[in-house]
Amino acid sequence: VNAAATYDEWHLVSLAPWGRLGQSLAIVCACVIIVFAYKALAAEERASRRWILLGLRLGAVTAALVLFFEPAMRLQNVTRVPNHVAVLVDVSESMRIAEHAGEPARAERARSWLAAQKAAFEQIGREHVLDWYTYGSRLEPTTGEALLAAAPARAEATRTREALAALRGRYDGRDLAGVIVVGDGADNGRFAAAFDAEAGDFLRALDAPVHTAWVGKPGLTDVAIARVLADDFAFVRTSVTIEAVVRVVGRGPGWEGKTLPVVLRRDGVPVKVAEVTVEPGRTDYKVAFSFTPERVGKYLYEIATPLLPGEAIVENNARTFLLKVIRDKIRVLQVTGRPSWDVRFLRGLLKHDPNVDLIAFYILRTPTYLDLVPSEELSLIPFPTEELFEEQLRSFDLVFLQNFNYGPYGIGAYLGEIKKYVDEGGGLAMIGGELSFTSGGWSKTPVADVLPVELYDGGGPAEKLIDPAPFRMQLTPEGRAHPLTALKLDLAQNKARWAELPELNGTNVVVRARPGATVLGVHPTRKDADGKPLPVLTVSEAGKGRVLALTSDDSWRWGFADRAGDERGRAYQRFWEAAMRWLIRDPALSFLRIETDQPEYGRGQKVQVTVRALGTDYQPLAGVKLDVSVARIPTLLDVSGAARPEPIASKSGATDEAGELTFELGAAPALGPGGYRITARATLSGRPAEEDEVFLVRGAGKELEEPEARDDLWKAIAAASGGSYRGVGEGLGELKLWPPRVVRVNQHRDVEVWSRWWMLLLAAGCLSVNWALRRRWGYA
Amino acid sequence: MLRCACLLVAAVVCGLGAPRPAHALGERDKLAIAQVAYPGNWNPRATGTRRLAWELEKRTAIEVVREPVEVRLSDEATLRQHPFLYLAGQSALPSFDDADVARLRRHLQAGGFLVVDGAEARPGGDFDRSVRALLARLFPREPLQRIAPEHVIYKSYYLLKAPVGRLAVVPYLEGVTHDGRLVIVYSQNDLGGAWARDNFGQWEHEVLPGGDAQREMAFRLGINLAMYALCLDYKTDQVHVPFILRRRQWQSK
Repeated sequence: VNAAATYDEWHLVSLAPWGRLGQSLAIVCACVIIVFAYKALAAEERASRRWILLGLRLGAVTAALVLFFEPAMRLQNVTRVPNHVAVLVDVSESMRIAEHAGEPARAERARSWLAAQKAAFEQIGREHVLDWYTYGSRLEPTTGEALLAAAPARAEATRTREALAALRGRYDGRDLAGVIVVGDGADNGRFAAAFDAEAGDFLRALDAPVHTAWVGKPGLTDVAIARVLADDFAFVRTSVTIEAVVRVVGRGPGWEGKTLPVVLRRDGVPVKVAEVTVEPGRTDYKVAFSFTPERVGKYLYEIATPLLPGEAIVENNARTFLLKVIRDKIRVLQVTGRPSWDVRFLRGLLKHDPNVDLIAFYILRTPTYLDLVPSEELSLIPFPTEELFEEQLRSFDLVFLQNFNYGPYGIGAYLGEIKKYVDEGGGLAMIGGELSFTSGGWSKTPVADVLPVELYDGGGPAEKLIDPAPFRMQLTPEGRAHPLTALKLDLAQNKARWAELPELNGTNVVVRARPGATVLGVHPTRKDADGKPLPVLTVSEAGKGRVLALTSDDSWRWGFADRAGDERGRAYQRFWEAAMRWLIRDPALSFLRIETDQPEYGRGQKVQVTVRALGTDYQPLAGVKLDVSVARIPTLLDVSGAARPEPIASKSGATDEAGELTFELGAAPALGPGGYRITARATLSGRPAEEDEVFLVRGAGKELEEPEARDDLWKAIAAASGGSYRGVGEGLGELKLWPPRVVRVNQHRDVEVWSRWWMLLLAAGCLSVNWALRRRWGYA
Repeated sequence: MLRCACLLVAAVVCGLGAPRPAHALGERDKLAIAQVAYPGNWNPRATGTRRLAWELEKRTAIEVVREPVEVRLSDEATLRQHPFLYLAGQSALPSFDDADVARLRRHLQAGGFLVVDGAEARPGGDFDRSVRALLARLFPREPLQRIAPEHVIYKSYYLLKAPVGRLAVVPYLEGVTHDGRLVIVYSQNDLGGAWARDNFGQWEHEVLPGGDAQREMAFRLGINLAMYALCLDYKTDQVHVPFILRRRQWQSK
């Protein structure tokens, strides 16, 4: 075959149309024929005759197989396909750093380096295909021109290993000649966590040399809040410790020996301060802040340290994070003026509830009775007035004043504290009895100011302040749908259920419900000062807290004396559990709710805000006018130094059929890093309602926490993968790159080997000679 | 001590300034000792509970109904008004029918409290046997057990070392615990006999062997029982523990 001029490669192929099964059967048949031939010749004593006959048969079978397989010579004209060289340029946030003021940033140096190596890249491009990528959090293809024009350094992480793994995935089945990585080596992906033997295995498995070009520079001077160790949530009134690592890299003018304040702030208000003194040769300083969150909610915390002269980076002097403060248990204070069945049943309920941490104080002995029994023989303890009402009061979620008169116990001086406790968000329930409301001397006290009912001005015959006649409490229209009185989900069933509950024995008489209060249950016959049904069960908002007034000490009968079918005793439990949840502002019972689609956002991400309005029956409320404002919570580093949240957006509108108002934040302009508080205000069922929510827009995060450029990592990557390292000022030079391994077939031709006259002659000849010799040598 | 005394004095002084209610919201909310009536001698110490009520009112902040209340297990409406039941006897109790037993069980499960007082004061006697049989029917899965000396019932108001009544034949109380609380307390020392006092102010029965000191202890036990019924395990709250521990140590010295 003379095809050297056209074709530069050849190899054998089979042109037979029999397929693999047919070919396999042919080979099996050939083997069987040879075996039988060998056995048939076993009786021949002369070895020469045996081998001659066997050879002839083998020749015949071989010739038959060649005819069967139809072998051909495939002649090809091929071209070698150039393989790929991938260039990865780091575009993470740390590339924006300029180690010294007035110098170009790392990204600028990377651009300059790429521009300077233009000729070298063009040379590579003649033999290979150059593929350009940027990487940070992820690998993204780009062009060399785009990289040279302006590579935006905004990625929130530098994940070199992850980028190389993604690159290998892209070139699966394609020929990769080598990789060139350009960056500062400030990795915070898997390489930063550990560059060990396994990392070396990974690089070798890439099957391509990785050449690294370092654009960092030594001599960075910076103070950073490098790490914050804080859980996502904490328990209210339980001590929380948040640790932070302050990293001092390099030394600016006058830094040595300087004491830096490190401030923990909550929603812009300082909570704790720690100090760090810069010591020679030391980089990391650990600080710990222990504090006790007093209220449930979501808060934005910030750990920050002021800027020092000569610092390279401003943003990393503060770290913000969200801390959700949740309840471990509802902490309840039950104070009662005398033992009674009402006290016993409420205690039983509270003690049985695993979510309640009960602190109880019961007055067991009448103050006016002087017992001759020595106190050592009694189990009575002094009333810890100061401890309860001054020191510990704010530690409670809910206070029950149950048939309790403050007068005899020196609590008068602390009544203002109780009011303040409610104003600041505490829950208060005053439960009736002859020691409660007006007959307990609560008129004209600070506590009376927060009660949802108005009291008579004290004095006068007690008979006018108490009505001892039994009655069955009736629900008001508000009470029929309120969650506090929802014994049944179905409104009609709920009303019927209340109607069958046992009667209450007597009631405290009040003037009227306070304006803005919600009367849920009333006396069936007795009227208040305005001629309206006398309030029995009334609730109201007071400051940030909530207050309940039940003018009866007989609700225990809803538990003990209620024998209605399967519901036996459950009404009491359901009522007080719901009351507790309402009083402590269980978020599930809020009338106004704000939700964001995420608690935290990256920069440039849009924030979707949904505000929901609910009626007193907790059904969506359409057409409610909402005023929503969004303010940025100031940080320590704000240039303006504003202590007050800075409004950035507002939205007014009415809720739709689903009771919702939805809008988007951050479309234009994008929200900057930091914490934001959304506040929604509305008037619901005639009462002003307000709710807020916080969310966080993350800053540069890890990138600026450990901003030092690392040439050691770049060297290690190059060494482990068989590549080479280029330091500052070094050109690309000669690179080790794999030659192309993939070829492309331009033209081919098959030259049949089997269809030759001599092949047929060989087969026929072998069989004829074999037949002739067998005859001659006397075989059958 | 000084703090306690100061508080007490302050309490008295301040108490004078506060409006003084004439009565509670309703008589039905006061503690009434409802004695279970049954065919036979159901009230062997007729004045006992009245005197205990008087002492309760005198010594504690509990508001009581002074006159004893009679209740029959067949009368569910009356039972629902009175969580505190007192069952006394001197001889074998009658065999209550199943409906009465079920009613009493529901009453106790719903939050009621039953004090069983054996005036017979003879362990293994007719009354004792019949009480055990009744309690076995009431709570077959929650047997009558001795109440440990550390139980809150011995410190719910007074710090007591041993339970005594008119006699001191059994140095312990027994009880049935349901859902974490005592629902039945059984004394065999004739508490009612120690409490009983006639209209002329004379004690009706001699208290043996301790005399008046033992009678005082019987009242203290009665007060503790009432206090337990109304406050449950209040005195086991952590805040009370150091005080009680200190006083127990003082007592033992």
